[in-house]
Amino acid sequence: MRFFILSIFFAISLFSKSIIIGVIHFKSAENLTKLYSPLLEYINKNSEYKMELIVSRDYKHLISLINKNQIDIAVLGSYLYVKNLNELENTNYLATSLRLINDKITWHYNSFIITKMQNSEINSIKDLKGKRFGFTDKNSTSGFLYPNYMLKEEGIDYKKDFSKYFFLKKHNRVMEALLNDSIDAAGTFDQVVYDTQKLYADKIKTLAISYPIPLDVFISTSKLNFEDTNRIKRLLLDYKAKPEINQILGFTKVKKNVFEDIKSIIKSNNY
Amino acid sequence: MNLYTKIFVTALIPLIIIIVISFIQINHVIDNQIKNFYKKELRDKSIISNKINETIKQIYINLNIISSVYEVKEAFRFNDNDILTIWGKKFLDSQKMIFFVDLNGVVLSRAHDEFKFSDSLKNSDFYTSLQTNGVLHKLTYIDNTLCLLIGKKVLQYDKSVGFILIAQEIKSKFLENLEDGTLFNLHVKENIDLKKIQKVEDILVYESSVDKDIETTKQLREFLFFSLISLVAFLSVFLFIIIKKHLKPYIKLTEILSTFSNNKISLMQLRKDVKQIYKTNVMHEINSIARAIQSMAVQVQKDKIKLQRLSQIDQLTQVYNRRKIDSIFNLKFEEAKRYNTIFSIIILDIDYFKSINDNYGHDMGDKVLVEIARVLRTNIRVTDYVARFGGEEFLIVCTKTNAAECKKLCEKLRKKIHNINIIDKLKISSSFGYVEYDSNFTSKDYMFKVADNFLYEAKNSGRDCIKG
Repeated sequence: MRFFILSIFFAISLFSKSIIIGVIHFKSAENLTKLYSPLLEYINKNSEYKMELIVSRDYKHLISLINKNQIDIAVLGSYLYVKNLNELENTNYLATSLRLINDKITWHYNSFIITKMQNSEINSIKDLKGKRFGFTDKNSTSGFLYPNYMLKEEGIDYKKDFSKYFFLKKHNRVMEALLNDSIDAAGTFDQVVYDTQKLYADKIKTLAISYPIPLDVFISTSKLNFEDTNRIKRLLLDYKAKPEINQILGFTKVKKNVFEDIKSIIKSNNY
Repeated sequence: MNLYTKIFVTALIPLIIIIVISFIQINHVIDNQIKNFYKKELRDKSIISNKINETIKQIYINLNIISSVYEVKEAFRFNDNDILTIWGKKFLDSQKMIFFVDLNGVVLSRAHDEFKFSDSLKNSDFYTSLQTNGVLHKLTYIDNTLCLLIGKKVLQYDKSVGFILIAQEIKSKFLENLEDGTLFNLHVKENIDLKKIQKVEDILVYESSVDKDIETTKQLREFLFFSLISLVAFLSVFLFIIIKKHLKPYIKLTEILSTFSNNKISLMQLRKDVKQIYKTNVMHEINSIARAIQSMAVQVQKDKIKLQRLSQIDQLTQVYNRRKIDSIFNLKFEEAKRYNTIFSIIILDIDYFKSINDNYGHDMGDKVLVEIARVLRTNIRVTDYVARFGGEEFLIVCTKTNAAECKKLCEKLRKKIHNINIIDKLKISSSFGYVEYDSNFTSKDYMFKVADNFLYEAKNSGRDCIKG
């Protein structure tokens, strides 16, 4: 009996293929596992693949893992994906994740430039000259790249035209600083704005909204063969989850021109 | 001085010595304690000063650490509030404030108040001082809280990128930490002129609990002294009462014995008084002593009576001896002389007594003496006295008896002696000489001489006759 059970395990392990998925360390390992577990379990259940999760130190490390073919699939923010396209020539775009933002299932989100409603002298981006501004992080798509693009479009150079600008790392810190009047305006992403508006109605004034920014991009490396790539792509596009179970609700394919917009924004930021 | 007073004083002296030594020791201990309080006060001030210095030293260490972190230097360059706040929080506690200020005096981060920043400190005096000197160490008010503010310039590649300020709040918790384990209760002085004061120690009011402790210690000394005095007083009274109670029978006995030894009371009275003592002190140890004295007194009295008898009675004949009859004769003579009373004496001598001894032996002689004495004793009046006066001579003192009555008595006695029959062959007779007192007798010896002459006459008249 024991021999029989061991033989079954041996056969399963012989025929199952291990797929390594790499993600950036933007949350704790525990939270990342929690985020991706339903998806990995789904693939494990619906295929012969055995999914493994690897958390990279940062995005450079992830790019390196991709180029060294040490992983099969990578998950990147759309900004990082576009920014590093030159280094990702041998990869294949699989799908873009879907999430629930402001009670809508969407493949994208937006960057906002906001101020407090009480700042009556600030009614447009142009009014921000000489004011204090808060970004999240220089590598943040919605917290720096898009807000800076929107500022530039209105002729504002954040280095010169603000009395002071701050990097506050996280979107919620940006919002807290604005609410505490430590900054006059801020660039952040839509979810934080919607959440704050739910808590404090009529407290936040929106000065600008960016183009849609695609959510996380799933790509396959050259380690994964054509068949497996298609198989995984199909599995991703078939994936459906409920918001109470997982933040990733499903996947979709976005048009290439969306990424072209990001490209032009990066270009305008001199990156 | 009474016995109990002596014993009381004897017992009291060591007690007083012990109490005096205790007084000295208590005083010494209390004085040392008070000195220790003052020493502890000085030591505790030093401890507080060390704690302050340690706090300042730690602030400088923290400043040096934070300002040397590359990430922090970069954060100054890029106005990265998040990094600065994270690093500030690593060195924060509830009594500290940490500020990151850029070269223009704009606060980039307050680690203690995460979302309050971007205000300018340019117009504050300490910022000017910091900018000029590169370092800052002063007491100042921040948000109405008195603080020790220590600041340092942050350099990157020898170029200033900003300033870090750490403020130690001088509030109750900080003061509690300083005063913890010391005698002091610390307060901050009122109306401080911060321009003149730079040291934390100078703004503190050291409210010491030593004065209170010293006062308590002094009160303790007074209490102990009072307690000791009370104890001495109580013990003295108690001791006096106890000693007096226990020694009172001894005193009484001593007085009785003293009175007796001074011949103020008789042995009989001594016995009575001693008996009274042991009867009234049944449970007292004096009871045994009194009983012993009582027994001794009884024995002495018995012996005295015995001795008295031995000194008055003739051993063989059991009638008075010569000493006793002399005394009686003398008394009667003086009585008769003073009160003009009458009495007579009879001298009786056994006839041929020597022949009795020679022929029948001394034992027979003694028997004759004994038998004659018995006859004399049983045939005289109770008011008369008979004594063996010499070898075979007897003297009889007859009270209130004239010569005629005396003669009758002699006759009676002579006949009775004739009747004595010890052995058949032995005939016993006696010769009598008697005389009545006469005021012409100048002495009893003279009266005796007269009677003796009559006896001599009777002897010479053929014996067994009476002359007077």
